[in-house]
Amino acid sequence: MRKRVFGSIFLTALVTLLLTVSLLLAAVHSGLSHDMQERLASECRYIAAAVDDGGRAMLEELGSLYADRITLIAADGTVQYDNAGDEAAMENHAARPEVAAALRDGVGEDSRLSDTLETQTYYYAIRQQDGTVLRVASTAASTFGALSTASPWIVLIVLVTLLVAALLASWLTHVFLAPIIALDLHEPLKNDAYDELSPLLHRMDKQNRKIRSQMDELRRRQAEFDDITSGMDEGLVLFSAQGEILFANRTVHQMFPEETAAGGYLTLCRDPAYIRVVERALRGESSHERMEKDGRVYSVTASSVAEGGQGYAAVLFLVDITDRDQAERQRQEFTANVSHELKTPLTSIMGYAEIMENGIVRPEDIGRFSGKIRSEAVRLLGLIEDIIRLSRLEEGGGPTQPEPVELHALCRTVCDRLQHKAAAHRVSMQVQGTETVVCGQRAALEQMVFNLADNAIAYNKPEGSVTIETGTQDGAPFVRVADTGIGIAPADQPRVFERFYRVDKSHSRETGGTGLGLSIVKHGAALHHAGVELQSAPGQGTVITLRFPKVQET
Amino acid sequence: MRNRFDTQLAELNNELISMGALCENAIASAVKALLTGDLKLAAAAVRIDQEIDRKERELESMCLKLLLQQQPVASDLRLVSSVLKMITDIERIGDQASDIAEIVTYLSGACGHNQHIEEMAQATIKMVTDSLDAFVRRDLTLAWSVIEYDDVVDDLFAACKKDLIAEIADSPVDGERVLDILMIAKYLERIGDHATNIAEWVEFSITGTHKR
Repeated sequence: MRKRVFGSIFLTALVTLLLTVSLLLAAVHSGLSHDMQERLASECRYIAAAVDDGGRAMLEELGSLYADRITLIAADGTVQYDNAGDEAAMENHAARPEVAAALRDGVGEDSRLSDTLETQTYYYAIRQQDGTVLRVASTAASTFGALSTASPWIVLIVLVTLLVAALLASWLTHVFLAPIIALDLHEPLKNDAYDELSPLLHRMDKQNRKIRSQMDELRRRQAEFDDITSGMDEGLVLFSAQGEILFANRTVHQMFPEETAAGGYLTLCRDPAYIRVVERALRGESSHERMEKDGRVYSVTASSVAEGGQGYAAVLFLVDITDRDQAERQRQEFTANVSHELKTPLTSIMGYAEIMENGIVRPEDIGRFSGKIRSEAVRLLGLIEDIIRLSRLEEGGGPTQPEPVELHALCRTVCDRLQHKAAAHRVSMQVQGTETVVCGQRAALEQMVFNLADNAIAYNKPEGSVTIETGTQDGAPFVRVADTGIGIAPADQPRVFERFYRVDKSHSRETGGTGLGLSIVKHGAALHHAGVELQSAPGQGTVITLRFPKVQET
Repeated sequence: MRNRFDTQLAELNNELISMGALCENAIASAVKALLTGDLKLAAAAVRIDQEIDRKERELESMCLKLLLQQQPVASDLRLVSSVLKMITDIERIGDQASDIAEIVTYLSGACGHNQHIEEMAQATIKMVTDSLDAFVRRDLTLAWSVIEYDDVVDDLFAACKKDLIAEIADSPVDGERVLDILMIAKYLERIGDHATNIAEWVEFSITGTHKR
C-alpha cells in the first residue's frame, strides 16, 4: 500500500513535470523563432530600403556593420555580394527555398538546421525592384544545441526535481496513510479517520463484537468442560481420527503419571487390551475390555465417533474397577464359603439321621445321636442367624430407629450371658469403666460386644481373663475388649475381619463359631460410624477397641 | 510431498511402538507361563512371536521404502536407521520369549520356585518396557538407565547359575530340568542384552552418537 501510494504520487509528479517542461520548451522555442523571423524581416526591409537609396556602397557599409549575414543574389541565383564570405566561391542560390520564394512571390523565408543540429539559421529574402534578391540570415543556437550545451545543468535540475518529488511523495504517502496506520482495530468506532473508511470500521466493529462474544462462549464452554472432566473419577481421553490424543483429563494423568499423554495413542499406554480397544474404535467399532496395570484393574471402554467421512475419532473411558473387582471376588468367595459352611452341618445331620433311619443304632445310643443332630442344627441355625444379621447390617441395620444406648449396662448384660461359657473355659470376666451413651441400635451393639467377648473367651488360655471396658475418651465413647489369649499373628491381623476367615483353620470346629463374628463387628461398627482398632501380639492377647464418634450435645 | 513424508514417519514411529507392545506382551506371557505353569499363556507367547516376525518384515520394508523414496536427512535419517536396527532386536526378544514359552511346555509347568529366575524375569521385563518408553518419550536418561541396568540382570544370571549348580549337586536326577531352567535364565539374560541394544539405538536416534 505504502509503496503503491508512493509510486503513484511520484509517477504523477514526474509525468506532470516532464510534460510541463517539454510543452514550455516548445512554446518558448516557437516564440523565439517567430521573433527572430520578425526581426530578420524588418531588418531586411530596412536594408533593402537603404540599398535602394545608397546602392552597392551602402550595402557594403551595412554589411560590415551588421553581425547578421547579408547576401545579395542576382535573379539568376549567382551571389553578387555576401558580407560573410567570398561571393565568387559561392554556388548558385536560386534553388534555396527562401530565394526561390522571393523570386517568385517577392518575399521568402526559411529556417534550416545545421548538419550538426546544434545551430539553426533563419533566412529572410526580399526581391528588389532590379530583380535581385536581398537576403538576411541569422544563426542562433537550435533547441537541441541549447539543450546539449545546458545538459549538465539539465541533468542536475532533473535530479534535484526527482529528489524533491521523491521526498514530497514520501511525505505525502506518510500523511495519507498515517490515519489508516493509526487505526485502533480493537475499537474501530473510536477512530477519527477518513469518512470513506467508516463503513469498513463499522463492519469491523460488528465483527469484533461477534468474535468476542463467540470467544467468551467458547471459553465458558471450555471451562465447563474442564470442570466436568477434571472432577470425574473416570479417565477420559479423546482421540482424533489419526489416533492423536486431543485431550486427556486429570484422572488419566494420575493413572499414567509417567506417560506424556501427547501425540499418538500409543504414547499413552502399550497394554494390549488398551491398544485393541482404541484401534477398534478408530475403525468404527465401540467395545470395552479389562486391563490390568500396576496392580490396578481398569475397565477400558472406547466409543467411536464418525468424523464426517474422514474415518472415526474415538472417546476412551478408563474406570478403575479394582474395588468393584475385589468386591465381586469377595462375594463369590462368600457364596462359596456359605454353601460350604451350610453344607457341613447338614451332611452330619443327614449322616446321623440315615444311620438312625436304617435302624443300625442301638436304642441306648439314640439319645446321643439325637443330641449330635441337635447340636449340628444349632450350629446351622447360628450360622444362618449370623448371615441374616450380617446382611441386615450391610443393608443399613434393622428396622428399629437409632436410640440412646448406655454401653456400660449393655456390657454387663453381655457379660452375664457369657458367664456360663467363660466358666466352662475357665476364664474370668470383668466389666469396668464408666457409663457412656451412644446413639445406635441396641440389638446390633449388643451383638457386637457379644461377638467380641465371645471370641475373647473362645480364643483364650485356661485361667485367662477377659476385660470389657467402657468409657469416654476426648468426648468419644469407646468399648474395649481385652483378653489374655493366644493373640493374632501380624500377617493375619488385616484379614480377621473378612467373612469366614479363620486364623487356625484346622481347629475351627473345636472353638465353634461361624467365622462371621468379627465380620459382624466390622459391619456393625460401620453402621454406627465407629472405628475398630486391633492390637494383638501372638501369645499375649488381643485388644479390640470400638471407637464411636463424638456425641453431639443436644 | 514433505507432508506425506511426515505422515510416513509418524506411521513408522507408531508401528515400532506397537511392535514393541507386542514384544512386551510376548515376554509377559512367557514369564507368566513360566511362573504359573499356564500352558495357554505359553502358546500365546509363541503365537505373538509369529506376529512380531510379520511386523518386523513390514517395518523393514517401510524403512527401506522411506530411505529410497524420501532420502531422509539428519534426525529423520537417524530415526529411520535406528528403527531398522531396533526391529532386529525386538524380533530377537520375541524369539527368546517364544523359546522360553517352548521350554515351559517341555517342563509342563514344573519350573519350581526359583527366587532369582523370578527376579530376572521382572528385571528383563522392566528393561524392555523402559527401553521402549525411552523411545516413545525420546528420553535419554531413561535409555542410559536401561543400559546400566543390564549389569543387574547379568548379576542375577550369575546368581541363578550358582543356584542351579547347587541344585544339581543336591539331586543329580533332576539334571535335565535344571538345564532347561538354565536355558531360560540364559534367554532372559539375552533379552536384557537386546533391550540394552534398543536403548543404545534410542540414544543414537536422539543424539546421533552410538556406543561401540
